[in-house]
Amino acid sequence: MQENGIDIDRLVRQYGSLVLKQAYFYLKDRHKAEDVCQEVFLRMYKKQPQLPDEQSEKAYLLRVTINLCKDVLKSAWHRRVTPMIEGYDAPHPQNGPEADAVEREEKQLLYEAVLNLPPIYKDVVLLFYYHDMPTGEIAKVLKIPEVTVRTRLMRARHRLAEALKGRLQDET
Amino acid sequence: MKLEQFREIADETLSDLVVDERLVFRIHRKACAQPAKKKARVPRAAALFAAACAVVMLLSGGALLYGGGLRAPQAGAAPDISPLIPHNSAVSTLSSSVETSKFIDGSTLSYGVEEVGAYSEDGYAPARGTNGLYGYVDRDSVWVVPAMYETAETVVDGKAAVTVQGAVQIIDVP
Repeated sequence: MQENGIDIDRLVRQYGSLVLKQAYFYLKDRHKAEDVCQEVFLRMYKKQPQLPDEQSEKAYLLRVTINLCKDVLKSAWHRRVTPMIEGYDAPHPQNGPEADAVEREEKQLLYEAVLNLPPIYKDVVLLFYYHDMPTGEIAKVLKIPEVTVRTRLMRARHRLAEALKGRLQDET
Repeated sequence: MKLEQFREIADETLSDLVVDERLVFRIHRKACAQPAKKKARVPRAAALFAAACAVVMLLSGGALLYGGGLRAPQAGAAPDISPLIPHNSAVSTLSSSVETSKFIDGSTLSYGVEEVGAYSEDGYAPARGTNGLYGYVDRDSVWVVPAMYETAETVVDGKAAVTVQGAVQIIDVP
């Protein structure tokens, strides 16, 4: 399906999972994330934006995903229904059962703490730590100054450190 | 525990959250149903061009035929009617051996038609693709519903029962 300049099938296959996960981080619900994922690609197909490279495509898709997720979160239905976050359940056969349990618990805490951050902090943390975007690129995606991105990142780290009560190591 | 671990943790937690074929086709179908702004202009121009060509061919063809300058198509040779084909009714190029086939909007799918069931009055039939899943084809064996269902029943009044992950659903065909 490339007759309009945008190969929607390639975009879905290349960025679908990335968009789906980004939507899940906000909505914490698979079905809603799938709906948003579908809407993101349909909007891109309708708008036909001129995106010169893959970096621009990714940035565009993430921006639309974030905006749509925030729209969903604002909707009356979503405010009445609170979804459950899926737990961390990765096996660690090399450790003992106690060490395993502690590690799993810590990872679960970190995962939940990030997903429970207020949206303005979650935006920057996800783009920086999950999508490996530099702060300049994040500023373009969120349409905010780069210095604001850095400030939000710093505040997000402080919030996470408080939420995790000293478990989080200061890495940067 | 470092914040850099978040990516690894999230990927492990959401390892099964991937875009499957069903979602790909859902997006594909929706995109076909809602063509982009630019798309609407192309078929109109093509239709006008095709209509103009048809008129010219009819007018000049008669004279040429009368003078013996244009031979009638030979038996078995497919006439070149491509300018006259509406944009949403692609001509079938399928056989049971091909691995790719066309979708109703003219795009290609990565699997062919393996077996076709009974046609309904509407002209659609359930068909098994070479990917092992079922969808619906028209009389030209062009996919009108991609092969993405575990089972597919005969179309009745534009609707059909299909199975998705063990659950029966009623869908519109096409």
